[in-house]
Amino acid sequence: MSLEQTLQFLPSDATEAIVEGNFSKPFLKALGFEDLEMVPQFPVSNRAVDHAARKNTSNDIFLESFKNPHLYMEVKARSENLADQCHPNYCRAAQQLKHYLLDPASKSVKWGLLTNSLHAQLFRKHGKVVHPVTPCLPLDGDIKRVVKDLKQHLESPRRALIVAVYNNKGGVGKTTTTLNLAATLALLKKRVLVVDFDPNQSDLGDALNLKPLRGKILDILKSKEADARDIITSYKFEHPKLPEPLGFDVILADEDLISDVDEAKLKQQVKLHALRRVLESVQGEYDYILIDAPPNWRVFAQKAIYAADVVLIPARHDNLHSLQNAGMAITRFIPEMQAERRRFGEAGPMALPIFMNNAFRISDAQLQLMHQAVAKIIKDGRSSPTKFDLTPYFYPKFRKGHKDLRMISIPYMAYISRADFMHIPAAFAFKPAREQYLNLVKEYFL
Amino acid sequence: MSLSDVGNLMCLPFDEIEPGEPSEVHEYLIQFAANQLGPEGRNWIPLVVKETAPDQYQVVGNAFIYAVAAEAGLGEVWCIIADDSPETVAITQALAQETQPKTNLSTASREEISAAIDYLMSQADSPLKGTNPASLVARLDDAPRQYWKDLKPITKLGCRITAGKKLKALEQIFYLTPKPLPEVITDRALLESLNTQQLKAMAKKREIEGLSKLKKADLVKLLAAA
Repeated sequence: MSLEQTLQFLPSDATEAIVEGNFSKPFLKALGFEDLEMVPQFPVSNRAVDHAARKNTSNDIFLESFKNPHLYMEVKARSENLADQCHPNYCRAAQQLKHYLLDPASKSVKWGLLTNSLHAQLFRKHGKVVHPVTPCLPLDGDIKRVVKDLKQHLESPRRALIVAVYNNKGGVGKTTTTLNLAATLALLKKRVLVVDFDPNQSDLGDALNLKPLRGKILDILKSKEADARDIITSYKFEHPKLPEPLGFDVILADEDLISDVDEAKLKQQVKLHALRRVLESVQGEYDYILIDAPPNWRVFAQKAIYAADVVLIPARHDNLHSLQNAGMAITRFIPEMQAERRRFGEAGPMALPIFMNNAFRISDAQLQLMHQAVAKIIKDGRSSPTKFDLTPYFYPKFRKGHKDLRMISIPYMAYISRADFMHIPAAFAFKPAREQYLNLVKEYFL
Repeated sequence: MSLSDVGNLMCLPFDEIEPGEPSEVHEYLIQFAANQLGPEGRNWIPLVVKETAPDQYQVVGNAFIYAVAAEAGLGEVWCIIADDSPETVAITQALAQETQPKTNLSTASREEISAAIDYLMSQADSPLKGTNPASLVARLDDAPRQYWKDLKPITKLGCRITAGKKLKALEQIFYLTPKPLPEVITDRALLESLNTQQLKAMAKKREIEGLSKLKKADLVKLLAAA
């Protein structure tokens, strides 16, 4: 029986058990998994995910070994609403799937699939980050296309995670964060590409003592077939104690982008998805691509956010506007770009929790002031027409029944600013700075 | 049907109950709760007791309730009867927050260490104030702690933890189940934690010659390569 027929004969009010029993197997088969390559009720720690799958190798049959699952599928009843991303049913189901994917026992898992046989959505796991790669795809239309689409994702996984570091308030430490995250990830033996997409400042190149490019980025953004490899510079950090130099690759800012072309003209020449297309051409060679986005919400910032899988938002606890703007980016700007991306059948970008940069010996009174401000931002978000709940973005450790208000933060460190004067990333130059950023990396990515 | 009372909620006369581990909370809290309760009130959060003899009970958990009941002068107290296995006692006391949580530093993951340090530093009068938690966690995680026999090596990590109050505070939350040192050590971090004399003895055992003039760094290099 074909997948279309299976779907046709599925009762319109099918419960989870019926969907799981009748639909799961044919669906996974359509996605390219054989009978011996899937396990129903696959144990994850002390719970069980509805289905797990993995391609067999010559001497390892998944159904027998139960080892190294590659994909988890969580199945829901047809009555559960998975089409609306704000619906409690969807939130609960997605949360549950994320929980399975992030379990320490799920190290080998790369994909999560959520379905109720009416809709399906694919999530990708990259380190500690789980983000959607497709919107909720309706299965009642052209299912062949949907299956083909999903299969294409599964068969040609992308290596890099594209992270935009953004806050439309300036001075919160976007460039410093980008640079030091890149350095820390490089220390952890990851291949990293940094994109300085802030031509107005081009601070990132300066922090590494590298000269900005002239005119090259514009050519690449405009043309369809240009090779981004031409404009990649590599940065190496050498030290007598290091057996081999550490480093990462950089796409430097382009001075001509501000001097020659005015913004309206730029918009006519360069499409919104230009940067994403450029980065997609090189993403097979990197584990992480970090984009240093400019403050404000204009052409460059929009392209940077559009290009990203996830958006990392630094803010400052003592700067009200940086908090408000962080909230605004999550409730307004990022959803705008998500809507654009959905037009091309893609999902994302997704906001990561906000982190507090440069916290300098916060007193209790200051802390209270900040919590009050954040409470107001959260309340405003809830009463807005989209009913956005910002709590998990400000307080990632907040749980039902546990009011844990700890935030992710990096304290003020003289080392970090001193390293700027030395034109070396602080994470390379000073151990305490490195340990702070290592903490950040572990919190978000690894 | 079982005849045992284990698991049941029962109203027991107060004088049949022996206090176990006494509660250490401040008198102010006890008085407030006792005033709320009054002599006729019902303790909606039960005491957890085990049966020691017929009509004889001993408190296992929620000792705070016992103290309040004594203060309020209750004649009868609602109790849950628990069995007397040590696991039950441990679970009950953990749920009632009556034990100091402890982490096994020999085997703990980075997250567990991070949570423990964070907890310790959030205490009001923590002697760890002023240490950098990110550094401490990173260095503890990297250290060869599975072989540590005590927490002294922490003082050598360069995190401003000295062998006084600060180390004592860490001893409250960490314990160790050390693995024996391997016969042949090639792990660099572990070699560096030993002193020159120990390194030389080790090299001698492995029959490496020409040691007398080597410095510690050279010895470590030599032994790590071998």
